[in-house]
Amino acid sequence: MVAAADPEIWRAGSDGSPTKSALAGGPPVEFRFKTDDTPQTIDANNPIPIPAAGFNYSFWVHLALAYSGTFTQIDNLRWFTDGTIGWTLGTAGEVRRGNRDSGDHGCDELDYDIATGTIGTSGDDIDDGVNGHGFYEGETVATIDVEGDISGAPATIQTGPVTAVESSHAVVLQVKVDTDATQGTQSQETFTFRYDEI
Amino acid sequence: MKAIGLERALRISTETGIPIFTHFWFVKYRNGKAIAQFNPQDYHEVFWWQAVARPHLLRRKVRAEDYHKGRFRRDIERLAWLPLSRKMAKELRKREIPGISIVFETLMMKLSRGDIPYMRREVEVKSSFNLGVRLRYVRSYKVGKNVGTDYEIKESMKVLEGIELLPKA
Repeated sequence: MVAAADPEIWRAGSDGSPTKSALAGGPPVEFRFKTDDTPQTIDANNPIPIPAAGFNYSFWVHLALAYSGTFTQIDNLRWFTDGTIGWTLGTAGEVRRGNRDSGDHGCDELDYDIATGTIGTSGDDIDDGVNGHGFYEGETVATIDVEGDISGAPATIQTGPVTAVESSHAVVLQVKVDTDATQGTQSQETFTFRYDEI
Repeated sequence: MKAIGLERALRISTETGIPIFTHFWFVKYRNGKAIAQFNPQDYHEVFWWQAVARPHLLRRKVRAEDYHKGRFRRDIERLAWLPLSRKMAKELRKREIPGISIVFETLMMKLSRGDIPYMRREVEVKSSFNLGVRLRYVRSYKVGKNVGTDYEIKESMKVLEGIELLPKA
């Protein structure tokens, strides 16, 4: 059978053992960057405030694929955007993903790090030396602007192969907001998972 | 070209998580016999590993582990991605499998004795930060032999490139 694949969010739980929430077809809306660890709950609670100085961050979000059905193998999982994020995040603001200096950029379930920060104010920077994401902080280039991940040059999340029903490795995303950002609900932006399957 | 059954295929894909596809695989052996991904009588699906793997001990049936341990049949003559006919696509949709008949190109490769077979569907799952999953489909089909070795040959056929027929929110 051709494999089924549903995007899912990892959150809460504990390090190495996340709670998984399916990202189903909309409506309702299913994914929002916030300053708490409930990206699957779409409400106006805990938005990312515009900082007076420095940067504010969303709590990071683990985004993966839940494979199901029957298949022989899945490999070469990649992820990309359309190359332009039209959100008004300020001069140095961006939507970023966790990045590894070498190898796959996706985070295995065992390397899941629960999102932390100050609720209502800012999440911890993925690259924070003390409270950052354990799988990425310390890398020479720990985060990458997702505008650089495009169809012709996608980010390799998991080379694979995957041969059983399970979750893929996750791309870890975070929003960074600069002092000159513009407030308000942001526009719809698409992203794509791409993989090989047989 | 109008894709008959596209709306139904989109609905099935949304409900099941299975990507929309347009082709099925076909394997021909040197003894003249062949296996297709779907049984033409009842559309029962055959696993890819069942078609190309070789059992470690010839007196037992082939297993998935034979494939994953790199044991392949040496008598494979051709690999092909063949387009779904309208009838076939309709029968698959009746079985909640999102097949559509939209293009009629074929991708095929001839293998020599002992070549390692390779076939893949390249799938895209398009989603949105705001609106959740919007579309799942097979973007291209790949066929090759001896992939990952100095003798690698690989070809691909792009079929659906970012189709914009998204279900309305």
